[in-house]
Amino acid sequence: MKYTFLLAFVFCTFLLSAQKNSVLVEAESFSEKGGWVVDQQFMDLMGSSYLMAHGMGVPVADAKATVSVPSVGEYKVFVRTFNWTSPWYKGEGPGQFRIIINGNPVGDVLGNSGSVWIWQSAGKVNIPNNKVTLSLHDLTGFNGRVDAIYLTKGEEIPPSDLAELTSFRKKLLDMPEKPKDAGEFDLVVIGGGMAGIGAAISGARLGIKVALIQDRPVLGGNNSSEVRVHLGGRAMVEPNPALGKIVNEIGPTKGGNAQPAAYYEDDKKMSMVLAEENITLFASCRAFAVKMEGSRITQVIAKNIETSEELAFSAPLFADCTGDGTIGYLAGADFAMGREGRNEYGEPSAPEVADDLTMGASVQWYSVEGENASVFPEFEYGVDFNEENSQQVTMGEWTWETGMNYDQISEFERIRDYGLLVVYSNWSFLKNHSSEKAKYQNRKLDWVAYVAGKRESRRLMGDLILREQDLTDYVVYPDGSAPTSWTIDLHYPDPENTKYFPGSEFKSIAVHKKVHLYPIPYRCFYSRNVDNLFMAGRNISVTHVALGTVRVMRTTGMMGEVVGMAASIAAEHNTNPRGVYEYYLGELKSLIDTGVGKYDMGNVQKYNMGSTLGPRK
Amino acid sequence: MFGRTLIRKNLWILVVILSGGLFCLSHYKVGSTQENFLDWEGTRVLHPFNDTSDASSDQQIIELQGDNGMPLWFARHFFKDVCISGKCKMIRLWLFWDGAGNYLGFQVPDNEPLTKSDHTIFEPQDYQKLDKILKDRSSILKNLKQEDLVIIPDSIKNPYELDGYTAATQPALAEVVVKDAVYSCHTIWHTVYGPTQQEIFRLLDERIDAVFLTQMLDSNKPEKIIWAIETVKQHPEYHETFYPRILSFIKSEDEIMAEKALDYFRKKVLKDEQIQKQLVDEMPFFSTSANVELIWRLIENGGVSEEIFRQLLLFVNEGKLQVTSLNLVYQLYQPEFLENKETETLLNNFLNGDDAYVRTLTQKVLKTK
Ligand SMILES: Cc1cc2nc3c(=O)[nH]c(=O)nc-3n(C[C@H](O)[C@H](O)[C@H](O)COP(=O)(O)OP(=O)(O)OC[C@H]3O[C@@H](n4cnc5c(N)ncnc54)[C@H](O)[C@@H]3O)c2cc1C
Repeated sequence: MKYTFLLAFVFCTFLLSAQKNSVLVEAESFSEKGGWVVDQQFMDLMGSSYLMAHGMGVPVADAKATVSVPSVGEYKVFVRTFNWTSPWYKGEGPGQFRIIINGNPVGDVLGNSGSVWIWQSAGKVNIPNNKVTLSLHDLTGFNGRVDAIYLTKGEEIPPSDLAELTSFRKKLLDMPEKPKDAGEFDLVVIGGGMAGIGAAISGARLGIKVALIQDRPVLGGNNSSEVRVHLGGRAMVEPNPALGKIVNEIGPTKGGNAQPAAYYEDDKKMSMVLAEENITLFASCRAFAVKMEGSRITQVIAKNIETSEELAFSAPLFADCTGDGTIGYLAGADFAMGREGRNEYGEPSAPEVADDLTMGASVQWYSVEGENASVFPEFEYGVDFNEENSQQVTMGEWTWETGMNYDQISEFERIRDYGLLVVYSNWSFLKNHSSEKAKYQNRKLDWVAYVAGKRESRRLMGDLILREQDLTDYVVYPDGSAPTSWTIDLHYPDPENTKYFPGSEFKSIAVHKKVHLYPIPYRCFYSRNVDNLFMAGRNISVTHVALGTVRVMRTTGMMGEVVGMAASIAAEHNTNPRGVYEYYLGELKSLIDTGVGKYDMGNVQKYNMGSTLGPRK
Repeated sequence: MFGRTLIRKNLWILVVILSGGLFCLSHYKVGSTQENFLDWEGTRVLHPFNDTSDASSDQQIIELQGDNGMPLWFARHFFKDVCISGKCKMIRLWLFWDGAGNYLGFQVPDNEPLTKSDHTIFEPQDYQKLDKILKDRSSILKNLKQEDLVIIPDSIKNPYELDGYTAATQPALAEVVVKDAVYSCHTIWHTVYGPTQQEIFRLLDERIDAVFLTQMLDSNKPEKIIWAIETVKQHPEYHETFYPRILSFIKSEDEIMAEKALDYFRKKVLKDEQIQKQLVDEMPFFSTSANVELIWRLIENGGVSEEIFRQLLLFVNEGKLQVTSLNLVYQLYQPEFLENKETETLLNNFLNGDDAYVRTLTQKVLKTK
């Protein structure tokens, strides 16, 4: 197995540019991160991954880097940062930090003003040597963030416009015009959640060369220890019981949302992928562009989230397992987002009129009981909690769901931040003001996710769009493949929460409709207008209502298995995903019948398989 | 199906004498369940039961005992009212619990079938559904009061459910009750899981001793074995005598029984290294999921000795323990375990073995720990 570890600590470099009088340092490339975390979730929105002081109210250790400047002398210092509570609170925000240069604090407190990502001035500093040490010193533990630091002897402030900023970065960081060639593959899978891992392993086991691109250092997506959602639904069940063997081999053996990290068995998923000779894993790389020839993708371009290095992946086949359908979107694939109106597909559960509502995203969290009393800072930044509206709980899992009425892609940073905001604000109320505060005296926040778990955004349209009636009336198609078993489980703002937080709810309810074990048609797994694009995961070709059942991760993992199988057939016959349906469906079905399991084992995941099934009509 | 198996047969008085007491069972057909419990052979023993909450029903519980005095079932005759907004009707039925106090079945009189709100009588499939409802000890009916049983408006069609867990809300009710007999279902469910069952549990508890526990464990009846396991859990004085027996049930093919048996080995019990070792030695005979669960318990228990760790590695090496649980086994790894040559050799074998997953995982664990 070739494991291309493109992580900053392996490269041991940081990104800086010494162009005449200026130096640009990307924070995420700092060699020592201290307690700061790399956040890449919004790089398509604000231009870069960044470092964030995610200390849950306790300041984190400094991040450090040593950089060279072109000449000694006096430099102006600018830091690109974001006062993240600004959408809700107009005063000074909590994400406060300072920059320390050569051991001395420079300028004022940063991160606490403005309302968009801005270059904040940190004053001037005299640099006596060519080597300078930079430190980011967190002051609050409340998610201060730093994208980049700019030291200049000139007068100019770096650009704020995203396009200009991108070329500015490229120039100052001396990045090559063209991305580095990452190689030629039979299949490039983008997104390393359960769907992506399933697709990669399945394809690899069937003999094709696969690149797996994942924008985090760990695999698993929502099922990783970073998001902590347990697998749901049934695998290895009728009518295609050989599907799901990979899910059973790689998935966690213990259930539960928002549980300790070990529950999610990241190491198993990673080692299973690394064990496949035919997979090359590109962890910490985020795909952000595609190259097209007509309606075919020829290359996907990804950027390392720490080093900013760009890589180009070539293949005849691509699989979009990003959840957001990002690759399809970049390639111009037809997609839908929001809820279809009832007329569109005649679905009984669809609203009368189409709208933009989606299911929301979750920042899950939990606290632990300590031996002694612990303090939590006052945290009031625009969402007020009181005896009546506070949540008297010690953890928050799936019901803590936000942003249903916001755009899950273009407003995602706001959505994630609102998730953090309500967790901290509520906790601060419980610890400091609640009449029940004695109960919380010894409790402290032990884990709050900063990678938000998403449920829904774009759905890429395939040759067949699965609808509610297909599921409830058991309309089985000849290309039925991965069985879906979860209820049609759609989420809405919790009316109780709406009472106190109208329009900015952070709790949800679920409404369920049972389905029978239903084999999802293979035609939902490839784009109808991008010739060589497969998809697996929550971004497949379904209506909003049908997404309600297919989105659980044992099911998305099985979709991946099917896509890997189809890709191996397409590679062998030199055809595209549609060609597999039109000419080689028999071959696909026989692979579905056999499965791609490696280990002979029984079901080791007996949790969260869902409630009883609906009737088979 | 029920219709065919319905035994239209009257049951005549059975007489049992206990402390001079006499009682009778008359004219009952098998109401729902496919078995006619009143036909079972054995000795009927009467337990007086002063139930002030239900004075119109018999104030006694009957126990049917086998030759060795083991309980085969418990039964009580009920004559009680089902009320809807002040209007009541009486229902008459026998309820049965098995020898461990779990719901077993019910029987209603031939001439007094259960009826619905529209006065039609229960059909065979209604009895069957009622039986299914009563078997569900965590039924949605559990937390509902009579006044909660109102029918929901059409606008809310779907049951509310939390990801994976059903919540008790009206829409879900329609699915779990006999149509037009929601109040009867509710009343009978709460009767099954009410004071009578508590009294049966008390009667069983009174009999707890080593002989009775042995009989229960020897009974071959999952419900009795499970009862005995739960009882030993609550009575640590019997632990030493019975834990080896309980351990052996983890091998059972009856999944629930195996789970219950494994469940016994937690916390304090699992702190005992001897027991840990005995459990691990038996792992090749346990199901894959039991093995995984056991390793998790050992992890959460704070780890294992080098000897046990080595045994786990050996089993993986010999294919007696699933390779896919190796990552969990490695959560038990301590660097000082390498001081044992055999452990070191095993890990080295893994590093150079055929299975790439095992190699990768082993490399990682040796590097990071
Ligand atoms: C709080 C919560 C509770 C839920 N409850 C359950 C449950 O109980 N059981 C269940 O099975 N499901 C549950 N779901 C739904 C389920 O988690 C999602 O539908 C599921 O994650 C879909 O799987 P996926 O593989 O499509 O996407 P993901 O798990 O989101 O995986 C996609 C991966 O792709 C990566 N990625 C995205 N864009 C790029 C890019 N441009 N380049 C490279 N990599 C990229 C992401 O980082 C991610 O790791 C829940 C979801 C949430 C949020």
